[in-house]
Amino acid sequence: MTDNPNSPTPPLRLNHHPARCLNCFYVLEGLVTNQCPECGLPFDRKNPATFTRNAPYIGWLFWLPSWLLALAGILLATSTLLYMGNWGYALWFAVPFAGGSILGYRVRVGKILLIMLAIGLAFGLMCAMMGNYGAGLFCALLLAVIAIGPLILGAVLGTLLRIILKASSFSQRSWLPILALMLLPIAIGLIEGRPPTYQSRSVQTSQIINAPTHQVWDELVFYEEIDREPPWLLKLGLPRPLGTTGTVDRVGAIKKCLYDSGTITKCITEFESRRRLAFEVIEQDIHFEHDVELLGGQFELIIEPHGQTRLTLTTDYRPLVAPRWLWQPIEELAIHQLHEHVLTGISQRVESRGETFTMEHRHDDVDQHH
Amino acid sequence: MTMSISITNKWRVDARHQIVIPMSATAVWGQMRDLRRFITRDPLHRYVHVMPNESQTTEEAKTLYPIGTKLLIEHRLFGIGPDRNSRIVRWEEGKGYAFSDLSIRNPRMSFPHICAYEVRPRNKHESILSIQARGRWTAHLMPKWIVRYWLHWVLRTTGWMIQLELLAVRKAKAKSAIRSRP
Repeated sequence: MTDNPNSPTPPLRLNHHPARCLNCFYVLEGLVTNQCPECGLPFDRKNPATFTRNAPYIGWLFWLPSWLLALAGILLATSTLLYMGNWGYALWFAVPFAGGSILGYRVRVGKILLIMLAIGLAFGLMCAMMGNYGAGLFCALLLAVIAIGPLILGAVLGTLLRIILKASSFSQRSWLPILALMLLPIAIGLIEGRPPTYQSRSVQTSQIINAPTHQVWDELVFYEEIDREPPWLLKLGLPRPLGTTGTVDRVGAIKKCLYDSGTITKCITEFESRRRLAFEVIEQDIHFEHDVELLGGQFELIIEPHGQTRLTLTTDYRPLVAPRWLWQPIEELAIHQLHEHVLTGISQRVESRGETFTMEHRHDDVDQHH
Repeated sequence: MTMSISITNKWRVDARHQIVIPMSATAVWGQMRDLRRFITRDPLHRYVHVMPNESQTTEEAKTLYPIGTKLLIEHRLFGIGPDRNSRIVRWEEGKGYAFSDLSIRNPRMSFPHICAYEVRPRNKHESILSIQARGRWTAHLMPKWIVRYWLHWVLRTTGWMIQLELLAVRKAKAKSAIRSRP
């Protein structure tokens, strides 16, 4: 089958995608025959249904380079902001927003894949925080959850920016917006600066224990040695108390509390037997030094009716990260979880000892009776 | 897969990279014919514009890219780089092609060279694709080992990208064959 010499040759569309064989994707443009030289499938230049203009491609090659570019942008911005000591809007919002924007601007894929790639970036950010800064799994997961919103918003706006710039005659659109987006979090970090010095805060948790005050007081000495299984939040990466060294029998006594991620050294500042035990944190090394500065705390015992005791644990700390509307509820949740774990541990041990104590008394009574 | 890079005392560069492709030479040529797409597998060639040639006759237009066709190649690395002038200097249907790659400001500066892509059959189901860059390196202050390493990276990446491109074609053909089964 050959071209009819009388028929006009269609103009070459060299700056467009060339026609390809439907069967084997051989490029048909410029051929003198109307048959694919590779597979023999006939085609008609005037009938677009007999050929395709879509070249086959490998999907991951289409999005992976741009995803890696967005990830590199995120890592660069995160490292710079951490170096600058900026723990505010720039780190939590501008970095994921910029990453999402680069992704949306560079990657032309469907909505579902775009969202999945954004989630992948959040995971990358999480790994970067764990590897770069040594954040625990809890903090990294939290960051990933916080990052999802700005990432997706960024991806949508990045896509819109691409569509707008594509219609424009802006010749530097292939690289300048990417560079600007990479520098955006650092610029916001410079404007924002380091978080201000916040006022100290106190978080209190109380629990009623079915034991008299003197028994609860005796147990406080060993309060950090807890045998029970920690709640999931503590397992996930918050510091988990393991044991203590030192004493708390007088004002000025030093006690070192061992956690799975380090130690906290406390100095007893108030010692009112069976009423209050207050302490000041003199050394903190539990890998949360960038997030909170622990100042001190106290245990307070109040006599309740029916031989019960209300045990209140207070922690005083100075927050170090911004914005407060985001981090304050999370800090409170984490400290309450830790308090509840400690108080429940004390309560369980006091109550089990109380039962043993009562049983021993009963045995004594029986022996005496005999 | 072979790679040879030679740089003479007068900075003449001849870099060649040969790869074995598990496809027939005809099938590989079928993809090479899309020059604008195929030569952008080079990591430095971002986009190719074919400049209009009004003097082209109808007969010439039957060849996909007649010798002398002007191209403008956008050279980019990390999004930054110049556009360069180019012309098709050889086009052998079913075999290969070559094109010049020259600086717009001064064709004697900034590594003027010729890129050539050639395919030849190895057996019925395999072919050998040869990628070649020949020219004169003009940045003489650069140590030759860096130039060699740079050319090595460019050619190896180009070869790898071409292999991925052809792998996609093989996959698409396989899918197409499954679909067309009765």
